[in-house]
Amino acid sequence: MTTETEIRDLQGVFQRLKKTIGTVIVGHEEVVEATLICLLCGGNLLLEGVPGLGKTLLVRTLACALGLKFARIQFTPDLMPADIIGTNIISENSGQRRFSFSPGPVFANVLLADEINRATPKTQSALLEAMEECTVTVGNTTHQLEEPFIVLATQNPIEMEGTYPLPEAQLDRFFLKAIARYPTLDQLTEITQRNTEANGRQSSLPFSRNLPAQVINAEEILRARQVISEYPLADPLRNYVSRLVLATHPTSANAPQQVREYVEYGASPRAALSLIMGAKAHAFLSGKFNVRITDLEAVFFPAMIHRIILNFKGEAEGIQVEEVLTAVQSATAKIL
Amino acid sequence: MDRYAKIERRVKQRGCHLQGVRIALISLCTVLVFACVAAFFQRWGILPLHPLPFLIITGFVFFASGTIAYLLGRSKKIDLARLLFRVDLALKTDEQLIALYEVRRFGKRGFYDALTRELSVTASHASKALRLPTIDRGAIVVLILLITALPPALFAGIGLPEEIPAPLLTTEERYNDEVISELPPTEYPPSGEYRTVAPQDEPVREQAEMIPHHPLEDILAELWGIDPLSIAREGEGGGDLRALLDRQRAVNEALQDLLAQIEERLRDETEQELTTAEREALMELQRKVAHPALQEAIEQVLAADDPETLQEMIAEALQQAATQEREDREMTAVAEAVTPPQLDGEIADHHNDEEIADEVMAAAREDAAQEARERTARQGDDPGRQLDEQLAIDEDIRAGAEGLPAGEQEIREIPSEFIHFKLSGQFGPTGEIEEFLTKGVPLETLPQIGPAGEFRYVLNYDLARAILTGRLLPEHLQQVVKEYFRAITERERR
Repeated sequence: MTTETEIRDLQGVFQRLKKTIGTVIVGHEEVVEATLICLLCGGNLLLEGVPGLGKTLLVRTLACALGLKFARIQFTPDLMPADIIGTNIISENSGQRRFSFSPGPVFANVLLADEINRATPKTQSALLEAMEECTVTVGNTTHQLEEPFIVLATQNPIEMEGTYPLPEAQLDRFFLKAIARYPTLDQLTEITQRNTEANGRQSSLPFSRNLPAQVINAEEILRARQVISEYPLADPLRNYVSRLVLATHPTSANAPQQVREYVEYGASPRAALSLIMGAKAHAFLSGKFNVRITDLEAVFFPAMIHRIILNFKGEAEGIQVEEVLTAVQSATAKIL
Repeated sequence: MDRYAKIERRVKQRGCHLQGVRIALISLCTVLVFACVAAFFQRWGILPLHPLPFLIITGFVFFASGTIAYLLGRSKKIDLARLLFRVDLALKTDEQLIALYEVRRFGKRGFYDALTRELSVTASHASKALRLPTIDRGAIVVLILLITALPPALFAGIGLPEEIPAPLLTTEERYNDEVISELPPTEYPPSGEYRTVAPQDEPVREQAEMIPHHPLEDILAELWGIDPLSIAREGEGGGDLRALLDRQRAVNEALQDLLAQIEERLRDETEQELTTAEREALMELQRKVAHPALQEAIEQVLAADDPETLQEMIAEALQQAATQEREDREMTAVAEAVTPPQLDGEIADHHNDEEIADEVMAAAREDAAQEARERTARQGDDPGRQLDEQLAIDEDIRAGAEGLPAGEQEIREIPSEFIHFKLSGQFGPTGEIEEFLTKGVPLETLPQIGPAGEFRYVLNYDLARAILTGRLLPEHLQQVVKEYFRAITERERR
């Protein structure tokens, strides 16, 4: 049974981790928080942002702070599934030739799938099993990935030429979607100051920076995951989440006008799971012992935004999914 | 008991109370809807109940249903999680209470301790945070307003002649707004006009022919044996029932005297036939008699050829006349017994009018005498002429006091013991309906002044029922009487 002290200790560890990441990454609090939530819930994060905002740095920093095995795949159009999950190769040992499995970069704890939308759908789909079940099947053999496993995929919203937008099935497998936004003036000043001065920098490469030391280990992460799963969520709040998710469906009776008009497909039940678990993780990271409505509201957009598919009219009129989600949130009563 | 347990207990109690109130409110609203419908029926006489008993019954149902509903609501199972969530939202406690409820339910001690330590809400705060929803509070206000308005609405029409409820009436028909108009006594046309002009008035006659057979004919025929046709033939157009009965009694007595004389003559004389004078007198009396049975008896007397048969017929007619006289006396007694006190006051008013008239006459006489004295002083002494002039002056004074030319006073004179009613419409093919509305008819005690300045009398059906019951009238005949009054009122309304 989880004690109060244990909960508080784990909360303290993650506070430290957050602070450590903050020493490297300037701004991007929402993105950092979404990353940690995904880590705590065992989900995968889709990071969207224009190049140069520090997405890759964030992932790298996280991996360093966690002390976990980190792998990076740069997705390109000619990338093949075997390049991700690995393949069987013929190896010769003592004069005998036999097939042996050579693991791909997916066999890591933290996988950075950079610019995932540049690979073909076939290659993108190679990640599906790993993302959902933490397993990889090659030939007739299924290989278990090491826990904790988290995929952090990035995609560029511009330069859509020659890209392959992620299919809905794959999008739905991302626990949250975080959007990296441009830094503010102060943040940008801070970024330039940190990255252009020597200040005891160890690397000789330009713009390189010192990565943090390990703050947390895998066991603590897994223990935190267990604690989070125990976080209490009352039935009225669970009911609220269900109504929120159902309200994103254009055929729902409680759907607001924007949803009926501009939405093609609403959020799946997986979205409800993401919302609840994300809210629990958010409450944990906030140092609270129960899930609040504010926790649900904090993860509502990251959990839903990539799961709402606009229809042609919505696309044509330039409707943003955020607007639709705001309408859903306003239209859904907290208590019936 | 820790803090949360106290809060939970208080919230539960408060929730039970509010649930009871809510269900009681629903119950009261339902009862109120029915009460309003019932009040509507009661107001329009469909529900034969007096406002006071109606209010008492409604109040009792209100109280009983409210109490039972409250108790049932209290004992009903409540959704505690939902209540705690409502408190959380009201007090902005970051959903601590609902979380505590959840962790307590599943025995998560670590979370429970941590949450209890952070809990900042007291039991009283939590209890006060639970309130009735706005719609329920609105319903309470509406309920109070309607309950407040119900008794005045029920009692509003009482005392007004236009819309008098008939609370104690046992019949389901509506009689409460039936009003009889009466012209002011000073505006009465001369009664003689009723006798002569009205029945001969062609439009009126045509209208009368269009009116179907009226239940009053049945009433009079079945109850008292009076034929309305014979009454109309008899020619009295504007009297009351008691006057009619008096006249009938006088005719009856005259008939009995005549028959007795004929019988005595037949016993003494050899002539065994009716003389021409007797025959004419009998025919005259037959014409005046209103009772069909008596008329028939006289007719048989007139038609009898055989002396023995004649004597038998005379004896039979005498017996019939005696029976009829007895019944008429009973009728008169009933009519006098039920005369409303204020009608006596009305008669007193008539007396007052007579006193005023006497005063006017005395003053006129005084003025005339003064004028005569002056004339005498001016013209010298001519006793014969003075006497003629004095006689002429006296005649003028008498006529002037009555407001009529001399010689017409007999026609204009209205018997003071009768109360004349003028009703619009006609009764049957025989004449005006006023013939049957007499002093004996049970009216409400207070006459009202109508919009046109006329007196309006309201029929008192309770009194009517008492009379009919006192006469041991069969139920179906009582119904006929009620039908009559309703019919004349509906006609008047038209």
